[in-house]
Amino acid sequence: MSWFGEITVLIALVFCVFGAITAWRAATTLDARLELTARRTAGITLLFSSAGLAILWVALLTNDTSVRYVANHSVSTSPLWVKIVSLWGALEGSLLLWAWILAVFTAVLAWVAKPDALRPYALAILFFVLAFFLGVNASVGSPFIEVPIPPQDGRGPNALLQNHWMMAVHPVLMYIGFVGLTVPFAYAMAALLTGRVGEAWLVQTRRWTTTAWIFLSAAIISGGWWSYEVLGWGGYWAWDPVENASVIPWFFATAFMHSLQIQERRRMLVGWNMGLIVAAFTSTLLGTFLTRSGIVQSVHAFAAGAIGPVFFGFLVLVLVLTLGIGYQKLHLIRDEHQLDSPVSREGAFLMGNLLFSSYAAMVLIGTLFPVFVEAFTGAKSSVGPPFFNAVGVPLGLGILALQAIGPALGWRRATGDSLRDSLTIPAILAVILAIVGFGLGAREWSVVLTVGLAFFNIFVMVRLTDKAIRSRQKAIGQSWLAAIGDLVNAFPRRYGAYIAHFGVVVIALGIAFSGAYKTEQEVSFKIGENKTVLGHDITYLRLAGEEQPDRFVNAAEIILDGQSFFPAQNQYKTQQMNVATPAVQYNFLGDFYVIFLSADEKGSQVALKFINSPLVSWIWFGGLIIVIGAGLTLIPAVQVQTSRQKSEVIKGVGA
Amino acid sequence: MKGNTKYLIGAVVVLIGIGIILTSSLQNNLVFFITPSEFSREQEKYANRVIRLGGVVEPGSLKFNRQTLEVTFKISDGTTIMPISHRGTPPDLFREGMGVTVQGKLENNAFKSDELLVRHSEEYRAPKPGEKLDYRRIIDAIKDSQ
Repeated sequence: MSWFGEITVLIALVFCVFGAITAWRAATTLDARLELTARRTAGITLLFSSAGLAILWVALLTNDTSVRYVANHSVSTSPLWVKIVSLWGALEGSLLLWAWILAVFTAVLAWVAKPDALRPYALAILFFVLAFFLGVNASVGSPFIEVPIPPQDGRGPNALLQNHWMMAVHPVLMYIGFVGLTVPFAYAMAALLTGRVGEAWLVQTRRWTTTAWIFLSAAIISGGWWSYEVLGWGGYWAWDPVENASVIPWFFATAFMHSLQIQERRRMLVGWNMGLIVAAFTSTLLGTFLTRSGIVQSVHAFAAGAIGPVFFGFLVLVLVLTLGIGYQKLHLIRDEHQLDSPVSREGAFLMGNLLFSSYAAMVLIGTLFPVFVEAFTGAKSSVGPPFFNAVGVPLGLGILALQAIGPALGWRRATGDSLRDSLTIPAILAVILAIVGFGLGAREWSVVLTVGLAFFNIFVMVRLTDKAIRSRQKAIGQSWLAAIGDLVNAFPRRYGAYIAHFGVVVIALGIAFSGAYKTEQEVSFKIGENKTVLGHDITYLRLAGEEQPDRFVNAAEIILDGQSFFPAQNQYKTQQMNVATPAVQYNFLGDFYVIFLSADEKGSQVALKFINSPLVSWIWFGGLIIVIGAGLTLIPAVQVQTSRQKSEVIKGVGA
Repeated sequence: MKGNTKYLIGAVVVLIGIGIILTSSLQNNLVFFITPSEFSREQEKYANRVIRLGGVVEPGSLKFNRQTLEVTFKISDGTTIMPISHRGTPPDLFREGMGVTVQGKLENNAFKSDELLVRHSEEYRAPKPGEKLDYRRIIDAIKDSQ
């Protein structure tokens, strides 16, 4: 099985390199037949890449321990779904999946992209990146290396990764998001190489960018959810390097999604937009390098695996090539317009860009700082959540404020009258509600500000929508509902953005309240004992154990507010590691979370941890709203004919 | 061009502001990883500061009160021994003779830990009575896993 997989990946790599060369020649010679060959090669590369993926799946499902990946990361007693998701449960399989998704994107792009001068260059660049990943799959990161003496059974997947179904979803979303950013990057480079640095490449890749962004956002939120459900600490985000690596590209991509609109509308920021998408794409490589090389844990671990240096080398190569091409074409990057006034839509987007990029830089600096400290002073140190919160909270509040004002600002220059008209009432209402919040007992300044800004956001959006509806009603006498429908049809990008912004508001409230008002307590219980913890009535009944094929489940049966709950510890047989399955009483206004910590031999005494986390579920709902809103911006605008226009047309025909 | 310079200055001012917040919070929130000996050598430097102490759990020093959920134990790097008190339940893998990291502060001459980190290592085995512990090797291992 091993050699079969190796050969399949190698064939895919050969076709991929051939595709890169052919696409490049097609781009430079403008030969249509060469381009067709390159496009077909994308399909063949995908075919062999898919075969490679299928072979690894077969090896996992048949428990073929002669394949190293199976021997190291799978076990025959795992349930079927765990075997299926084990494909991305460890590094080598993840990289194979990464390459496969990139092969899919390359093939789809080759099929659907607009035939223009950019296409062959973009294809060549996609092939080039794909060749790197297939190259890693075929060499230092190969999952198919043969085990000379196959063990009886595999070592089993990481216990943390088989404890929740979210593990089947989260990594795939993440890789689709990461890989999706390659497409706008490839088009940015194609635009530079052809000298067509106008807004065409942005318009063509807007849906790709947005789609990648949607997947990245969903991946980050679902990762937080997984952490909340599985890690048993009642939190969802610990600022650890793996999490940070996923959020850095997200900030750059978010900045890019906003600032590309300035280039679309006003033909400004040509160079800046290129810079942002390069930053977003390269930070996906940087993130993989940081988390996989072990450099964040220790500078000495750098040499431990070959994958770290290889990713670092590729990252440097991409940066050098990009900067080299950019420098050569510097004379082309010229903006047609300048900023007319800072109080304008462009001004708000620019300020937002600054905050998003600072956020990304802050996360990067916080992640890397201990590495520098160790490199220069030899001292071991770590940067924990207090740092990220101290900087992240003000930046996040700044973004929230800007998000409220931005939609109310017109392009070029916003007049004082229109601003007062849109913002005054919402601002007054928001301040009143923030004061009400303070009166109700919110004493954390960050929570009071978040509440005020959240309402400000909502009221501004309501006010703007209300104004748009009124002007339609006045002009064509439409009903309220029909006006909304027509507005959404005519401006899906505007109203999609409003919905996504509303999702951000919901998440902000969830983060603020669950962060500031989380309470927790560890309590010891004897059998049959009843106590009141954090306002809940709890009785510990007994210890319930169950042996499953792959694990022992040890659960404490408790009665929580009259209902049975079973917080558990899972002990996986292949690993000396316990993973908790907390019992959670879900509630729209806050979750109550019970973790089984430990018990004595007979289960006559247990230690339980209780966490009260207000509004935490709003983070997941907010994520869903963001995805729906961003999805709406993908729908093409429809100019709806209003009934009066229709009747006028009919009249016109009749006359 | 004049307009652009104005915006550039504005952007630089904003960036400097963010930079100041960034560096000051980095300085305040950097948590050093040290051994008990390093701690006792530079007591004033680490007073009132959250630190991570790494050492070996002294055999025979672990006490866990199931009723109050309080753990006390001593950690050592072979030369200096420090008593630790931790509110909470020790992790499952917590054993005497193993390398651990505690995060916390010195309060009234006792180290109060609010985070107890045990790095699972496949090399770990329970020390035999009277066996000499290789402190250096154990501490290096947890240091590298930070």
